[in-house]
Amino acid sequence: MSVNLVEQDIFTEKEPDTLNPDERKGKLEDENSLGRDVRFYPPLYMQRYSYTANILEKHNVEWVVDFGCSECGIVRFYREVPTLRKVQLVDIDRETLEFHKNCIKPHASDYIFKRKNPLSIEIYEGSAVNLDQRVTGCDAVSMVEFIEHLVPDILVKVEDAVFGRLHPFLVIVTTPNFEFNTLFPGKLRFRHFDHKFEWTRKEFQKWCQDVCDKYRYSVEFSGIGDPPEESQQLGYCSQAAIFTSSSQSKPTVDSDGNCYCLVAQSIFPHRDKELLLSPEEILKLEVTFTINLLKQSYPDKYSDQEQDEEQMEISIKQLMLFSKISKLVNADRLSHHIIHMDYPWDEDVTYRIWGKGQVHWTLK
Amino acid sequence: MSGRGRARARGRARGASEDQARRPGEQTAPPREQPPSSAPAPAPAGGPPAASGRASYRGGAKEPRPGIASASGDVPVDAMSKLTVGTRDVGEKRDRMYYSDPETKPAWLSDKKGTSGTQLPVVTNYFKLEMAPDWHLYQYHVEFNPPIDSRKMRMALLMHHENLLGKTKAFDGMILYLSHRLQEQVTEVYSQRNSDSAQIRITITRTNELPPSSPQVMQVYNIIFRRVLATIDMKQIGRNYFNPSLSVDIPQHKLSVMPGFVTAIAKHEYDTLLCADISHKITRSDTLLDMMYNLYNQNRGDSFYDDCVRMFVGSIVLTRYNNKTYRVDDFDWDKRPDFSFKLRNDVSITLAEYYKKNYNITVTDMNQPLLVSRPKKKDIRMGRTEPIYLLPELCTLTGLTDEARADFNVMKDVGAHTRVPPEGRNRTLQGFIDQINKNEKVQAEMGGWGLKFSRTLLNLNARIAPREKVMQKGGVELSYRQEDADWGRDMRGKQLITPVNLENWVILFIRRNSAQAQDLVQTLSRVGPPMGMNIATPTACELPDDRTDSFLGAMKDHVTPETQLAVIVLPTNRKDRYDAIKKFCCVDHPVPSQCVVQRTLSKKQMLMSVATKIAIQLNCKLGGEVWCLEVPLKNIMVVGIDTYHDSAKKGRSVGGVVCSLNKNLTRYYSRTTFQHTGEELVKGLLTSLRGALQKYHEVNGVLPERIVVFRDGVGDGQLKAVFEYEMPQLLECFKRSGGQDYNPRVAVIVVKKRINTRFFVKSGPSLTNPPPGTIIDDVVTKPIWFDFFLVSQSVRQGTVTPTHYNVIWDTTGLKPDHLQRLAYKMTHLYYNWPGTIRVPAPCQYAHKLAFLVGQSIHKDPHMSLSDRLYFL
Repeated sequence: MSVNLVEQDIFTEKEPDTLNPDERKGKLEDENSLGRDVRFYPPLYMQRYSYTANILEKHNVEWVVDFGCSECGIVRFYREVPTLRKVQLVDIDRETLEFHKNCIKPHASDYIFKRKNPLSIEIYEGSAVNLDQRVTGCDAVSMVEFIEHLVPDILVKVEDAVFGRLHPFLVIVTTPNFEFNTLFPGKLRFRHFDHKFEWTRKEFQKWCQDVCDKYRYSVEFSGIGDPPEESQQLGYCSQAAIFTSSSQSKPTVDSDGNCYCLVAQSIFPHRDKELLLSPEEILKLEVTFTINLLKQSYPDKYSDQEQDEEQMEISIKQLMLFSKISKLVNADRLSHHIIHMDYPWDEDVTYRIWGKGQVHWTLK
Repeated sequence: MSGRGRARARGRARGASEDQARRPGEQTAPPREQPPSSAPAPAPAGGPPAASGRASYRGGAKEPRPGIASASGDVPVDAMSKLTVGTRDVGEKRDRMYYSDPETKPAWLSDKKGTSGTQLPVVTNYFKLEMAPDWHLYQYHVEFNPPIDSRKMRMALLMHHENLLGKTKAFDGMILYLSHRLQEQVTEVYSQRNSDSAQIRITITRTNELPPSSPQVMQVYNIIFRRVLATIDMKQIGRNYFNPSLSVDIPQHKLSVMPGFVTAIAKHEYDTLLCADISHKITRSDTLLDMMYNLYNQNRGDSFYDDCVRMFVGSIVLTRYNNKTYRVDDFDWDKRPDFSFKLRNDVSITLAEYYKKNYNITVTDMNQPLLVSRPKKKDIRMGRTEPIYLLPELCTLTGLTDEARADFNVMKDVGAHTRVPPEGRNRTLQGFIDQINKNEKVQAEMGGWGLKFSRTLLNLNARIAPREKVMQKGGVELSYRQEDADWGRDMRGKQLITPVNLENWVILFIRRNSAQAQDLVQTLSRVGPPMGMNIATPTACELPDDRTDSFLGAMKDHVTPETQLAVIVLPTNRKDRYDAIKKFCCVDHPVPSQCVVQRTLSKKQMLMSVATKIAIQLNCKLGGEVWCLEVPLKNIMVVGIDTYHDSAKKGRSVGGVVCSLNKNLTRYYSRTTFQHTGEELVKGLLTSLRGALQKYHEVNGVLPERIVVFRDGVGDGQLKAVFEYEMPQLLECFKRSGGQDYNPRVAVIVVKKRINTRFFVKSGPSLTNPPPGTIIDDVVTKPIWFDFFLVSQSVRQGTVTPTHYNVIWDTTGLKPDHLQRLAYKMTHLYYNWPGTIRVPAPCQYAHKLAFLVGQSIHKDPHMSLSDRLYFL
């Protein structure tokens, strides 16, 4: 992902709407004062979400759990991941979840541009220390800018819960790269008042390696937010680790029962009816639609010609111009289908339509 | 709180960096926002009235009302609402936000109910909003110290005080509404900010106690109701709410029909009522790009670009990534998705990259042109002046194209879902209110406010006006049933009131159609005499080809000043040819003309009835009359005004003015006016009316004692402009044109066809449409108006839409009953239809005229035609 760095207000558009309202003021203040000369577009938080979503798609993930979802902003990207069928968002802060729970509702446009796969999004209040039985069996876990909010003994418990007990085949973790903070003017400090730590790349990589050793994962490192040209040595603004498990079989998880509390749930519409149609039925609809379309434009087009305007000729060739049809069949099969659809046709592959859709064949 | 998600998901490809100051995250300025936060109403799909309303005279200079002003309209809602709002600065801001209907009921009117006719109990699509008798809404002003900029932050801080405020509240960051009264006038509480543990002082000052019927409370009701709709998972598109999970696909047309509701809570005659009607959103399952490819593949050759513009410019698209609607204003054929624009940080980004980065959407067709949507007025106010570029691939059309609309098959299949008969409508509405009343969350919200809706649709009493006698020559009465309101059958063999003999006329046709033309001439001469029309043999003119020039050339040669009429048989209904012919006949070479498409003559068995209809139409175009009613009023002139707005030619509209000349109200004088956006319709009106009064004097020897103006084409929100600006000028004009002592008694009645009120009649176990002549002047009318509903037309399918008549000025001295009867009578006099129509005939004539001029002629028709119905 390429990123634009500019000499301007930093982070002025960073996570504007997805901040916890209580934290918003504090956070913006902090980060505004952090730097005046680095600026990301799109905002870094969006780049993180988008990065994570892309990795899920690449790994064909169908079921993901996001721990530390906070304002649920990641939904905006997860809902666009075609492979996903289930998204579960977990956070400990009920108030924030309640405030933002409506963002998982499908929009009116989602009913028009439907997804191919069904998708259910659930929001839970709960702690990543515990595992609800409803999250067991997931393919992937994402923890975006989450671990740095945890005190050490909690972090250890979360490691055990996620990597140990839940053990999905894919885990994505992002966290601030402390080295990058030197680019922000003023005193060197953490980016957010609630951060318990911010790691250098070395520290993060050590933690990741320890996790891998302990829970049998392999890890790849990457990051989000390119540093400016002259500061390449500092690394990305956010560092990311992608853990994959080699074990094929899903573990049997000892869950803590129903320890999460469901805050909101929504089901996205998908192309259920369309998928039930056979290719023949789809073709039939396409042909009917296309012929009607051609009829609509017909009087305009041929009105100057000496012919009865009540009838028109359409050639197979003309129908094959429409990609929706030509994608489904070749010309020969189309003619074959058209006979079956009661559109008579003649030797040189044309047919005529009379009046309001009555069809009549002529042999030339 | 449904609007939030949507408000956030903003993001559009803006062209430049001017808009830097306002990015989504920074929209912190709450004072300009809609009141209590939750559901900011986005601009309706049709745009604000100023942009797409049918009359475009809004926004002109506002002069003080001339002389007559003081009579009735001076109870200014503005001033009242200013009083009711707390602090002054807030109040003034608020006033600009709301449109309130002007109070137009004449002061002298004590009872607007009519008397004649028979009683009829009806059911209407309103529900009563019930509350305790002493119910009040309490308004508070909330201040934060230290000041907090973020609206969300303010809300969150206030949320800590649920114990004090309760769960039910409406808060927009500044003004707080509660259903209960806080103990103290000023309450101070403290909240702690998480980030720095700072103590924030919140001062809650009670500024007002609002009674249930105050205009401001109506706004709050509607806000609450929008929340309710969001709770039951209705999605807002434009102005209305829809239930996408119930949408029905029509796969053969790639359409789906989404059922929904249009709702409004307002103060009616006695109570606050919720008006709810079914509405349908038609959406397409293919993208605009698909449609453009289809258009291209229809093999239109060079016309493809023009066709795209014709079909899509002016339509509303919905974007898939942020659920917003835009109006397509233009195409940019030179730009592609790799077009790059500058972000607010001066970095260039291509559109494709923008969508990838912001929405994770991959643009697949890099060869598509771009759609251009110019900023709306609102956007310009916000500082967004650059056009917005959209990708056809990511847009879908809402609604139907004109071509689809003209397609019988499409309309039949769509109509099967959208045309709902009274019984079905009742059932759906009943289900809707049940769903609302039974939903627990809704109960909690409504209960918190102390409000609830009645369980069933409202019942009230209507009247059926007496059936009107329709007569032809010699007082021969036409027999018809009032329920059907159709006397077409009974006209056969009866003489027209004033037949005009056709002695000198021309018929033009191309060689291929000569047989049909001959048939037409023969049949006309057969059907004419029984009606009293003698039709002589015309000058026949056979054209060698069907080029437009051939038609015009032949007409120049054969139409002389003595020619009464030109009949043109057209091979097809091509618009450009029709337009050219009409322009020739109405402007350059004034002669009444009749175009007949060959196809209508091709069915032999239909020819008799077709020729009869044509003959009647010819008679009208020549200045004859067909049927009449008893009009007891003497010396009255009835005026019809309508406007036509051409969506393709933005910014210009045509007004049609039609004035009656005779006692029977069957002969008319007509004029047109042109005005650009921002110009007042009234300028042209004045010349037209002056001409009409002169003509009336010429015909009758006196000026009319009474003038009744039926004004159609007044959009939502334009009533105020009509009432405050147009009407006084109209009155002035009548007086001035008639000389010093002339002081006619005038009524101005605003006619509205597009309304959401419906009425049903119980018929056995089910409901049916009320018969033509049904008048409702109680309960669902408004106390600030002298208004009534009239069902004048008969419909065969679906639910009938009543017409709303709002008498905004009346010095005629006529009783309400008389005005109602007059309106009903006038619906019988449209000569293109042997029955009653939806609006008074002069309005329909005015519409016809404006349509013809706006669509085809684009110029003032010749004055010599102005005393005939040449535009029929």
